Amino acid sequence: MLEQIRQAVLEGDLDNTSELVRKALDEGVGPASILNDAMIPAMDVVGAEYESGVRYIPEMLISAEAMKAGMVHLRPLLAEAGIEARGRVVLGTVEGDLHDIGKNLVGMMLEGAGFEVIDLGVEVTAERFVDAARENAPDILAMSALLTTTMVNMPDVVEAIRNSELAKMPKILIGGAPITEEFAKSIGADGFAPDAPSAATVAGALLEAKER
Amino acid sequence: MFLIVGELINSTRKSVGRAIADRDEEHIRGLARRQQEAGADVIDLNAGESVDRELEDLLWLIGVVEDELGPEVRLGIDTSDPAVMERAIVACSGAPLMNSISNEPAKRSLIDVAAECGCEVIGLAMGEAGMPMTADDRVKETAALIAKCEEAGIPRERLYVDLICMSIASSAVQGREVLGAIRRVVEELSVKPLVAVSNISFGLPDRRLLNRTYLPMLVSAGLAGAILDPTDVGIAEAICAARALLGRDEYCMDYIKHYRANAAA
Repeated sequence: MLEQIRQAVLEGDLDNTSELVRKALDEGVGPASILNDAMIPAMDVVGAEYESGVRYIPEMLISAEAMKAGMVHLRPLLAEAGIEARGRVVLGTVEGDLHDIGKNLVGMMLEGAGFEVIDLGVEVTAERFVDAARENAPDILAMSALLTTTMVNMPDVVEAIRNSELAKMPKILIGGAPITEEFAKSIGADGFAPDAPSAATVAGALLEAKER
Repeated sequence: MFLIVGELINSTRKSVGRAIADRDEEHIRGLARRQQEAGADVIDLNAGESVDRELEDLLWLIGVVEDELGPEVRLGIDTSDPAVMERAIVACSGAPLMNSISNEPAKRSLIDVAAECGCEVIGLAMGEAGMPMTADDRVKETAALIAKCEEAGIPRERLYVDLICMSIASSAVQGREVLGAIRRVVEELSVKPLVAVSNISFGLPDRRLLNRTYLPMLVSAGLAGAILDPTDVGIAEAICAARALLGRDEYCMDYIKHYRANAAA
C-alpha cells in the first residue's frame, strides 16, 4: 500500500493518491507512516530527478499537487495525534521584487519534504520578515530574489533579523537566479540553495545543524 | 518593421559577467557582431550583475560595441537604476533604446528619464499589482502605463510594451494569455507589443523547439518586437517567414533579402 502511494505521488496522479491514502487510513495504516514512509520519500526522488535533469518543472509541480491531495486526508489526523511538522519555514520574495514562481516552487518542495510553510508572498520588506518571525517562531527564514537590483535588499533582512530580539533565532536560507554561494556567505546567510529541490535539502541540513 | 533586440550581452550570463569583469573585449565584440549578422536591430547591454560598478561597466560595453559595429549601431540600455540610465543613454552615439521603464512605484523616476531623453523605450506591463497573470491583467497594466507615459510626455509611438512572457512550465496557460494580450493591446490601445520570447520555455526540454514554434504565433497575433537570442538557429528565419506569410512584408522584400544574405554566407 505504501509503495502504491509512493508511486502515485511520483506519477503525479492526484485522484489515485487521494484514493489510496484514504484506503490506507481505513485499513489502519498510521498517518505519520503514510507521510514519512511513502510521500516524503517520493518527493525526495522527485527533487533528485529534477536536479539531475531527468524530470522537468511541470512534472515536479504535478507531484507536489498529488502530495497535497493526499495531505488533505492526513493533516487533520496528524494534528489530532499531535505530530508536528519537521520544521517551520517563513518564506518570501524580498522588497522590490515581484517574482513568485521560483519562490512558490520552493514552498511546494519544502512542504513536500514535510515542512510547514508560511508564505509571505512577494515584495516582503525587512520589517515584515521580522514581524513574521516574531509571530511564527520559524526554524528557518527563506528568501528569494530574482534580480541583481533586488538581491541587494537581502543583507538588510539578515541584519534586521539578527538585530531583532527574537526569542528563537531562525536560520536564514537564500536563493534565486542571481544568488551565489559567495554572496550568501558575504551577507551572513546560513544557507544557499540554487534551486527548489535543493532548498528542501539545505533546509533539512540547517535543521540538523541547529539541533546539534 | 519588426524589432529584434539581441539579448546575449547580459552580465547575468556567467561567461558575459566574466568577460565584463576581465575587460575581455574580444568576447563582447564577437557577441555583438554575431547578433547583428543574425538580424538583431538592437544590441541590448546589461551590466547589472555588479551593482557598484554598473555605470562604469556599461560605458565600457557601449564603447566596445560601438567600436565594433560603428557609431550608428542601436544599443539597448538595460538597467533599472535611473542615474545609470541617464548617463549611459547620453553616452550612446546612435539612437538608443531604453530597457526598461514600468509603472511600479519604485521605478517611476525612470519614466521621467525616458521623457527627457526622447528615445524609444521598452515599458513593462507591470505596476503595483505585481506580475500580470491573465491577458486582462496585461491589457490593464498596458493602459495604465500608456497613461503614465503620455502624462510625462512620452507619446505611445515611442513605446514598446513588454507584455511579460512567463514559462508554460509553471502555468500552462501563459502562452495563450500573452497571445490574447497582444491582440488586444494592438486593437484597443494602438501600441507596439514586445516580449522576451525564451521565457516561455523555461524549465522544459528542447527549449528551442518551443521558442521557434511560439514566434510565428506571436507575430501572427501582432507582435511588433522581441527580445531574444538571434543567433539561435531558426529564430530569425521564423520571424522573417511569418511576416511574409502574414502580408507584413511588402513584395516579400525582407524575406528575399534575408534568403540572399544567408545564401551568400
